[in-house]
Amino acid sequence: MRRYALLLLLAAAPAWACTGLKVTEAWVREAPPGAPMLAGYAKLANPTKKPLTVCHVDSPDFGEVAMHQTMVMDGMSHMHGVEELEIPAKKSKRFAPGGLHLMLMQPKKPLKAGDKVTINFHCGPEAPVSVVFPVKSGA
Amino acid sequence: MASKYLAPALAASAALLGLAAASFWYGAAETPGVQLATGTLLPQPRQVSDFSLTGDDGQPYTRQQLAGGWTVLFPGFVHCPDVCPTTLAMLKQLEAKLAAQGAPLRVVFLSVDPARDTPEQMRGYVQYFNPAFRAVTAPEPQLGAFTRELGIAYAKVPGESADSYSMDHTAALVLLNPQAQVAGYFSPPFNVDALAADLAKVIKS
Repeated sequence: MRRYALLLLLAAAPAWACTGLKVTEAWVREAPPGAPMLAGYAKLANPTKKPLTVCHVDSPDFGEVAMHQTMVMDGMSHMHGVEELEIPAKKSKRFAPGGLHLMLMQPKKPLKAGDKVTINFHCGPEAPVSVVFPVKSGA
Repeated sequence: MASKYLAPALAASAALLGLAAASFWYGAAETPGVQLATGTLLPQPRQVSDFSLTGDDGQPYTRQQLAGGWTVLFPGFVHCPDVCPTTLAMLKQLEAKLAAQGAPLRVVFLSVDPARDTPEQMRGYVQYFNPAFRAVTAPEPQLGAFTRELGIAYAKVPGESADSYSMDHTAALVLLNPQAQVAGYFSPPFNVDALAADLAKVIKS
């Protein structure tokens, strides 16, 4: 009985690692000169049978990374932070220009098209999923 | 801080909505020659009061600089990594498509963040997309006065630190005619081919 209880508990527990998270179509938009921050885009797919929640994003190449959402409300372009991103089982979420994006702040060195950066997606305290994002010209 | 900008922002939004509604009712009847698929032409181009902005060369930017050609003005700010570069990249394609059709279009980026955006920063930012693109801004209260007449709203959204704030801003593009009068508006989402078709009609009419 106790054993079943433990199993149930495990089944109900949130995923502590982004195990199974598949990140494709990743790229970072080369920043125009003068722009102190960059935007990153990708498709995050969850092929597993459990929802995955990305709760933190960081990078050795940037001082700070945040998930942001651009939206147009009442004719105004507005941007806000996204604390957690849940990807339901067998579904995907897309970071794309003019919508959900990775806000990449304080680059450690100037980045040009052709460079590569690493971005870590965390779903909890366990090891993140690390993804290499190529920098591309968006112009 | 936010409330300082909110009132003019709301007033400008209301003005823009009113204009859009007015042109919806009267536009079709009074501009029989040009029907737009992606935007709204004002029934009568609207005069803008005299203004003095600062150009990306640090020099005054007045009606004299704005007049003389069809211009699309895009409000934004340099600390904007997503929607501003995306729109400027779209405007780069748009300008090229129109130039190829013999319908020259000028692009002006209006920074609504004069506290952070210097002429030098703005110049680098827009010329990355096209060396012909211009950027302008102005300190308050000149910026507020100019944007209100154009139907552009903006508001400061505080961030975690004093200089990490973001700016909400009108998402529309403002079309100005060669007399530097407001001729119309284009709202997102932007489709470069549809915009090019619309603007070619307007510029050649």
